[in-house]
Amino acid sequence: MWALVDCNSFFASCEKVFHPGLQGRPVCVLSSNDGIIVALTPEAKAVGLHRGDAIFKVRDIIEHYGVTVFSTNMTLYAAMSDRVTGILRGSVSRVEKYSIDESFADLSGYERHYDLEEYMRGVAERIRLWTDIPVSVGVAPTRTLAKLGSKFAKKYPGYRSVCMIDSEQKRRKALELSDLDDVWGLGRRSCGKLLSLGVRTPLEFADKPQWWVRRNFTKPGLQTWMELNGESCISTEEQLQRQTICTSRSFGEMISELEALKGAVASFASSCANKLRAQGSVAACVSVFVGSNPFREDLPQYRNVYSRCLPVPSCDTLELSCAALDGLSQIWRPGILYKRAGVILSYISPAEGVQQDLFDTVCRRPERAALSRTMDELNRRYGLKTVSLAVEGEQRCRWKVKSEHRSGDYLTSLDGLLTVEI
Amino acid sequence: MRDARGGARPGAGRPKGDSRLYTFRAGGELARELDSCPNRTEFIRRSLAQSLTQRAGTAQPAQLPPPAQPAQDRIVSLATPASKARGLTLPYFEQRVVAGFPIPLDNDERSQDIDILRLLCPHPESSYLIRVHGDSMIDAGIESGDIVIVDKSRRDPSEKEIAVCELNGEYTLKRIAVDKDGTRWLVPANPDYPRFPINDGDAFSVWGIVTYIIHKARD
Repeated sequence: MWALVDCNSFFASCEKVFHPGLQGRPVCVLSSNDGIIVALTPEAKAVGLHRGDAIFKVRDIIEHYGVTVFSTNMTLYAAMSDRVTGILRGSVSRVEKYSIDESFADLSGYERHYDLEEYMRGVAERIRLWTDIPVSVGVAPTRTLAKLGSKFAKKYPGYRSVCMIDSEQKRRKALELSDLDDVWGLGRRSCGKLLSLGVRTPLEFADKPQWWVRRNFTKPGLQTWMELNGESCISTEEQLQRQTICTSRSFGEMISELEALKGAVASFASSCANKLRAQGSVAACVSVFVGSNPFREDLPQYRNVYSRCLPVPSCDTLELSCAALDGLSQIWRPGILYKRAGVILSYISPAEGVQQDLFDTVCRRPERAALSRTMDELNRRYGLKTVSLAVEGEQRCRWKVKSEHRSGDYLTSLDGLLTVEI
Repeated sequence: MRDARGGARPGAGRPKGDSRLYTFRAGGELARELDSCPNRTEFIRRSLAQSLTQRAGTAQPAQLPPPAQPAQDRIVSLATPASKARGLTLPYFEQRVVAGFPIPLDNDERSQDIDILRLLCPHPESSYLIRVHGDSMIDAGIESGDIVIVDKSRRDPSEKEIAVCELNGEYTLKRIAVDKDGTRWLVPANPDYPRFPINDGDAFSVWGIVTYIIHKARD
């Protein structure tokens, strides 16, 4: 059996831990640059806010109901996330962290000694007590069903944080009551396709014969179908080997000069390269995109993207940034006020088994790899951006994100500790 | 399908571009030299690059060395500069006569370092650091500017313990006492401050219990 432990409105819950008087109050967390709402409590949903709302459009609601607003503080959320996973690991030995607020726990073997539902209820209670973060747990024979179960546990308080799908009857009931887009692995496209084929609920999908699924879908679709029918076949690692890695930002103020944009793009590229190395992969294609502010119709509008393939797939910060900067110089046009830029890495494959090129233009690859590793280690030991590319540095203040409501680094910095007046 | 076999393998196949495939046979010495390289492609590439740069002096267009016997010699001679030659190590058996009775240092008896963090935070996941300002708890040993370690895993402080509480939207740090008639009080540890009743209408909760006080010794 698998359990999915999902933190309820995680970012908002983290903020509530360190800010008194927010119990039962509407709270929402904004995206980087304070643009849109990315996380909100049920109370905030109840007053009419939604995930993805642009903040300037809902300012009236926020003022009228006294909604507390926070800027994203990823440092704090990551530290809280580690605590939640740590507590879970203390109770279940095989835990796979899936995202910042979700972890899968492999419960096989535990059913011989424990009532799984009560056991996971105890874990959920401990997480809530130790961190003040409420969690919803789904327990089921497959990861896809466990994820579905956690959605029920979140929606209906009657489950007391844990929803277990352990019988054929419960499975059919859960699939019947869920929406297609609640299913892990069914994206917008797959859902649209299913609807066009006349399939309206996950149950109808699961009840289709295998040949029908094979004819209409590729391997991931078939795997989801099998998982919905109780046959475990998706691994978390497979899901986690990301197909693309993207870092993009909208700027606090609009930028037109090439030099300033270069700083931003180089910084995005090196952030992408870090993520790439962290998962032990290499990328063969670097894309860079820029765009003007679509809300300023009075200004000239421009957006463009440029992709460059590398001769040898790489995870080298210098090489990836050079490619991105080269792309930027191809698409940059003078006289445009840019609001947004980003870097996307694609054609990602595992770092082992890279096809080498005898006439590679980059020399000393082993030494370059060592350089990247050293940079990572320095930044890990002495803090982010201790070592960075010179081109990133100077102009950073120009495109720095706006975060007016950021809370302190309560868990990670001695200067940022929560302070109490007594 | 079920065991995830088959399908595309990323990075497999012939690389794009106008590249050509060469195969060649390496004889004894060259083969051994190649085998000893951690990255053969890199080794060959470097050797070729080196030979091409040497030719560049004679203004000839870049081309591959012919795969004949002389080429092998050239590659080997170019590729192993003296600095790269590895030293030879021979096993050396040391036999010493020990006088007296040896006293072995048992691993069990080796001292362990004291892990101060484990003492202060038995459950790191439930321990939080909070800095305090104010002198209302001075008799309990908490002075202004101190850092306290707070354990969230317990919310039922005894009358002797100090709790971080949330009262009507503010955090405070006090002892909690219960009267005979059941009224709860927030009790400071400083005679200059009054105790504070917790009324029924108050929004009150215990955030955590102070386990240790980090106080800098001052002169």
